[in-house]
Amino acid sequence: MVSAFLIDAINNPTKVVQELFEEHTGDVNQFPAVVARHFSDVFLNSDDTLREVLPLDMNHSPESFTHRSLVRFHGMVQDTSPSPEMYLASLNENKCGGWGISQNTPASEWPSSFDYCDLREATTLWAVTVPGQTDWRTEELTDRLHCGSSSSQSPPQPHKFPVPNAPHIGVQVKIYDNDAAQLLKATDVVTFIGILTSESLDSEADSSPMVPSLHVLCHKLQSTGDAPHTEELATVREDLIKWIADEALGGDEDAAQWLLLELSAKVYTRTTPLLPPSLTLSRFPSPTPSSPALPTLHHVLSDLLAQYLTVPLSLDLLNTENFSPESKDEDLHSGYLQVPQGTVLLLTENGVREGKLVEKGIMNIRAVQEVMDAQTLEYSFPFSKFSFSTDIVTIVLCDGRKSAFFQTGFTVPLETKPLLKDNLYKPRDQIKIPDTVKLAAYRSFLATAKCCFGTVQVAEETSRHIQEDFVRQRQEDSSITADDLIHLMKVARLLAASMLEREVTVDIWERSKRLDASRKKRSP
Amino acid sequence: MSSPPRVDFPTSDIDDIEMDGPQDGTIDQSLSIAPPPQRLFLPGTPSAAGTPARQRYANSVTATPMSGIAARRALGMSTPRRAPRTPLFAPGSSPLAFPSSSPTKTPRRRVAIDSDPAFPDSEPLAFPSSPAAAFATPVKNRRGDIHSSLSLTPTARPSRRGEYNNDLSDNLNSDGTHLSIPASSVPHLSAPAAPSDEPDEIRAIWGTTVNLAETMKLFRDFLRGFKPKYRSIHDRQENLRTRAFATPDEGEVVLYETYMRRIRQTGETNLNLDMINLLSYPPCKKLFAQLQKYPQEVVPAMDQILKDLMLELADEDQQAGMDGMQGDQGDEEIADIMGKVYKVRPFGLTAVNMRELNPSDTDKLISIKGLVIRATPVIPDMKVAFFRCLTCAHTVQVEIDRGKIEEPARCPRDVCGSVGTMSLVHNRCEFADRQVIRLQETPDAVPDGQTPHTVSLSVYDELVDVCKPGDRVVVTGIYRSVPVRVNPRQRTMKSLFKTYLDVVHVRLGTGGTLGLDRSTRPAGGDKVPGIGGVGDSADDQELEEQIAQGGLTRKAELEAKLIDISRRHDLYDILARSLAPSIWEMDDVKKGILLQLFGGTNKSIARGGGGGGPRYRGDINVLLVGDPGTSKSQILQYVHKIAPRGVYASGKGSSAVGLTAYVTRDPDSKQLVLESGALVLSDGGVCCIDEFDKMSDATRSVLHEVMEQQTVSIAKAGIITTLNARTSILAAANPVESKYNVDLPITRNIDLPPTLISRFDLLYLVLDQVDETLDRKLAQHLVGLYLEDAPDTGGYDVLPLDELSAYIDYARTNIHPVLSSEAGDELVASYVSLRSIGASDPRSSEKRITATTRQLESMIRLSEAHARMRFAAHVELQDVQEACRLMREAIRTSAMDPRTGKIDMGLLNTGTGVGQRKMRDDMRRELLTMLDSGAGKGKGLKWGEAMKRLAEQSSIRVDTAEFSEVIKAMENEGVLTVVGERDRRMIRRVEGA
Repeated sequence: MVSAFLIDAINNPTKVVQELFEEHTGDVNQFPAVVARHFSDVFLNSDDTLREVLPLDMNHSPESFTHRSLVRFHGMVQDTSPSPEMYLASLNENKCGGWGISQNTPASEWPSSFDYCDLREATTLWAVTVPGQTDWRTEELTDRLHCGSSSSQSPPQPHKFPVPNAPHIGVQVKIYDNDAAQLLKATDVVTFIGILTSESLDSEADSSPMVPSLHVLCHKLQSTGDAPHTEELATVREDLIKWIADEALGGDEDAAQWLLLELSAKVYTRTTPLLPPSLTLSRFPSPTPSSPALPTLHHVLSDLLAQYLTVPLSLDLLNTENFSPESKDEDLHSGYLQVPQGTVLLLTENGVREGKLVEKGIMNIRAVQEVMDAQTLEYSFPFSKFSFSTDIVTIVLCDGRKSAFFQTGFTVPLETKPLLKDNLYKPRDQIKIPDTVKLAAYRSFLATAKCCFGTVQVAEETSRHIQEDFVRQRQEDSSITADDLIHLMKVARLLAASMLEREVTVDIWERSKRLDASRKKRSP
Repeated sequence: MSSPPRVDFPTSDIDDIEMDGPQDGTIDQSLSIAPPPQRLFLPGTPSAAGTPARQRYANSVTATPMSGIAARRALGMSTPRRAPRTPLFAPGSSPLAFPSSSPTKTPRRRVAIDSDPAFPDSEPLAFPSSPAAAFATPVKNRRGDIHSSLSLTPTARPSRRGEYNNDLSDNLNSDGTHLSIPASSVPHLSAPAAPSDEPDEIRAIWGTTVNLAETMKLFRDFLRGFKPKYRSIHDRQENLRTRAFATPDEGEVVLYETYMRRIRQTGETNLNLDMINLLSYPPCKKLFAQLQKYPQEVVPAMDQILKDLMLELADEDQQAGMDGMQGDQGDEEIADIMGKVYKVRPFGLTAVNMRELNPSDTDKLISIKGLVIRATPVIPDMKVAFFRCLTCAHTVQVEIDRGKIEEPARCPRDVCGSVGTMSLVHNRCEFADRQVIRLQETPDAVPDGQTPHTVSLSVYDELVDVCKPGDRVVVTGIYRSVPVRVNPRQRTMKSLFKTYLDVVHVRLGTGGTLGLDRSTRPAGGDKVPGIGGVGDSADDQELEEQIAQGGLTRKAELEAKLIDISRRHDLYDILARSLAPSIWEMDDVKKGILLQLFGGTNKSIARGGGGGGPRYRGDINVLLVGDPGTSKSQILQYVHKIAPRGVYASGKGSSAVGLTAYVTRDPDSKQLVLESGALVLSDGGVCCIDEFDKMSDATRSVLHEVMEQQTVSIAKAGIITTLNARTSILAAANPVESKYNVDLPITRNIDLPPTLISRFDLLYLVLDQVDETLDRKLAQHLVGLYLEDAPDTGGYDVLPLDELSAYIDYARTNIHPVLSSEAGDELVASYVSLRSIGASDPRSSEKRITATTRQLESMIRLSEAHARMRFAAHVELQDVQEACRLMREAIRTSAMDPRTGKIDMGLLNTGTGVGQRKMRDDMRRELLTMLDSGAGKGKGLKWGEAMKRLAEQSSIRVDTAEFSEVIKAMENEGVLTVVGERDRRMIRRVEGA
């Protein structure tokens, strides 16, 4: 039933827009919303229709498309600062002027006179491939139906992608439905459907590079929807801990449990800061020359998480690369930390050697620390700094007793079993990957745990118990401060979430106390 | 408006003749206008024309007197005797400015056109259909900000004529319209109406019902009739706080006549016009809307009226024999006025966010605020291009049109007519200063989660270089959208548009929510430097500020609400509770910080030395010292959020430069620039410094100057300057051994020089004590906070952050309490009693210093702050009592000598308490005995051994540090010497000492 619309829209989106324009009788200001509604109805209602549209991604570079073809692009909003673009909403003979149509008109056909009343604005922003989106997630989204040629060309504006020198797609996005566009924020993950063209980056400048440009017909913000809470997942927890411990952490199940707690965390409230704590896995040996540089944990996490990024810290990287975004010449350069909400960041300190940390490096470390402590990231603009809220879970791997650079919420020294010591670093193909069903269960377990964290409650009885407990402990040991209480409460909350419980019970409180005590015992 | 038809200007030709003023022709013309004394004034002319500086005004010289006459005639006033001088000025100036286009060189043309001083030649070129346009051109009140449309809409001109021979449907008018119509590719940009001969239409702005003549009359009425009382009536209607007039007469002053006289006296050319004044003057309500919608037409018209009125007023004053306006002096003044270009600079619109600008605002007057992030160097902007034909040397001038100059394709002379021979003569073109500025949204205006937008501003003439990168400004300007040529080589334009603002008025330094303490600024210091225009400015500042902050009524509402709050009986408690509600207890600390936020009043002794005498700080400094994990940082962060101009710095991370000011090289200009750091940035606000103890000594030493003198001196890279840093400091420090050692005095617990500590008005020890009931409460609070869904905010009833912030801001700007005599007495009494605590102790023979004058000053500041918090005009008894209580609380915790349990300010001021001093004396006595006794006699004592023996004698432990202090003191006195290094040190008695 919808297929006729669908095929029309895919084959000649421009024509569909033009037809809609001719049919449209109401206020011309409403027209962009009408277009958005029409195309949303056609494409965004189900995944199947969405998949009909060719994706714009690493396998389908902008060059591989013909001019003005319909594409979908799943990307992260990197920069919303470009000035809105003005366009003529209607051209001669009742022709629609938006969606790049007027720019595309040959100069000879262009109206000699125009009415300033027909001017409208389009929101312009810059979007990039979602940084840190793991392969399985990308596959899930695109379905790899059409295998195009991978582009060898370097993307335009490479400084606008968080991970330097990484292959990605960067697109200038023009949204005509301004009200909807106002809601898009930096680091939001959005699926855009629109007409792909190539335009100059800055229409006002005399010489500016040509960049792929997407004239958006409709878009959808990625929702962090609730994962279904299924009973069978509860049993997955032990399996998962064991798998992570055996494959990536040298058989240390305690460390794996802490890792699991960490992965269940997200920003709960900001008013009274209840933020994901950061985790240091200390005593994590450095790779030997013969082993791969990246720990096995990297592969394991990228198989489990949808949003995951490894930053192999080194002095060189700290001193030269950007961690927080910075606006230079009115162009917002990205940094490692400009990643979507819910991303897990693995920072490996094993590559750090002796040397000098210059000012930039110090600022970078401060930026990471700021994310760990307050979940905010400062974007630098000339003469002003803007604080953006983030939701990033940070895990630090370090060789020493504690992280050289960061103060993390938890520090767990790794205790590997001698037999499994080698599995800390091994190539990807040596990992025993569970079957697809199990892997899917693991993934959905982690997603569910994260959801649970947002809903965990504390019963009246438990809170009384905790209070009593604290008073008693203080009497016994005066070195215990309020901070310890806060720390323990965080652990309890995380533990409840990782067990997919809705409530912190006295039992969980005691368990978390034991867990924390055993952690403390390890710390020298 | 019904001046009789004038037969004396029947054609444009004659006008022109009059303009360029060949003597014979003119006399006839001028005779018809008025009696002919013009010859008498001839001597005056050379001076006006001869001065090179006047050249640029040559055009207006010719134009304005005409309009002056026009205006007068329009009003039906008697024509002043000076009027006929006009023609005399013109000839003087025009040959000077354009010697080559003298009539003789182009005899073919009508004399009028060729010799017209402005650019008559351009007209026939651009608009061949209207060869008679010559007269129209002399109005060259070229304003950069209006320029792109000025050439299209010489509104001042047609309207002027509209008034001046409005019953004459002569071809002058049609010339004017011919002129403008063809150029306006964008019709609604408006221009005088269609080329019909009906005068009525001519006076309207194209496509509207706005009648320019009427508009001009309105503005004239306004300048002549506006009195401050109208504004206060208007403000009252809007429920705004109005400034009280000192005398009823003050409200009756004809404000703008005063301004105009001041303009004349100061030689200014700008009149800043608060548009709210237009709105409040009942007859001008319409004008307000017109100015907003059609600034390009209305502003030049206003300029014109301003000039007319300037002349008129000068004339009146001369007639009245006003001081400085008599006889020749007056004539000179008037001549001077004629030579000037006056500009009306409207402002006072509600500033909108730049995101809210949309295409429908194009060509309207709007106001936005933002942060200047980049400014180009001054660009010479060609206003009039001068072309000369290579074949026949005929010259032509072309005015800029929509940002570009249309090069004449062929020589306009019929005889010559050669194609492509017109070449530009650079040094004969006219240029204006122009600067392009990039304005970025301020952090407070950007929607959450979005990155800020930027917009381009074009500023011209006097406004150039007024704002520097980093300034926060509110600009009023005309919003433009101009089609962009995608390829500069292509002639066609694509449907892309670039937008920018042609700025007419700039106001510097509105900090948005970051209100700053105004008492720290010199009076009138906020006036825009550089353009220093006369007119509405500093006085209206506060009102504007309110407007800028969005909506008059909302502000009024808020104000009413704040006053409501101030009447609450539990005001003090609720405010203290609202400060960092997530932090449990610490009520006195919160109260102290609250008073810090309000601050005392800054005082200066007006009749002291030069420059108004010394200034006494009203800023209250607070230091928090305490165990880790006692939420000091949280308090600091919170204060940083609500404090006016709050700046947060962590002592560990900030170098000396970060906290003060540093010199860098600007990447754009390669110039050394001074960038101020946290302290200077927080001038007039609060600077929060965390980890105060971890700050390097060099950095901390800067604070000495800041905290008492409130300035930062810089001598770096050849720049030597003193910057103001009138800031309150809120610092947090950890004790030396991270945990507070209650057995040691505070100075030993915090590793800070006593000189610095004593500069803090309040010093709180935030100690972590084990106490069951307290612990239970704390646990309850934390559990509630971190585990339950509705966080318990430590109190039931708290003010939201923005309200608290508004309350503080309001109090700081509006309330300036003074001490009542009652309060003064109480202060004296409290101070005396505080001092006598130590003195009257019967158990002790020696006196302790418990309070110094520094504490008295602190008490005054605190009581003022408390009164300010109550919105009270006078400091009363209760304020002083509370201040003393807070002081006592703070002193009790910080200045208590741990050995004696007594309060001792000496601890803070010198670092040693009485008990300690007594102990040192004992130690010294014992040491001398030891040295003089048998064992050490002659060869002295070993360091270690002396320590050991002292320890044996003493009942309390002998502190190494104390010991070395004593030795050092004795060494300085010359009583003993120390020889050797480290362990091998020997203490020897100096013989004969």
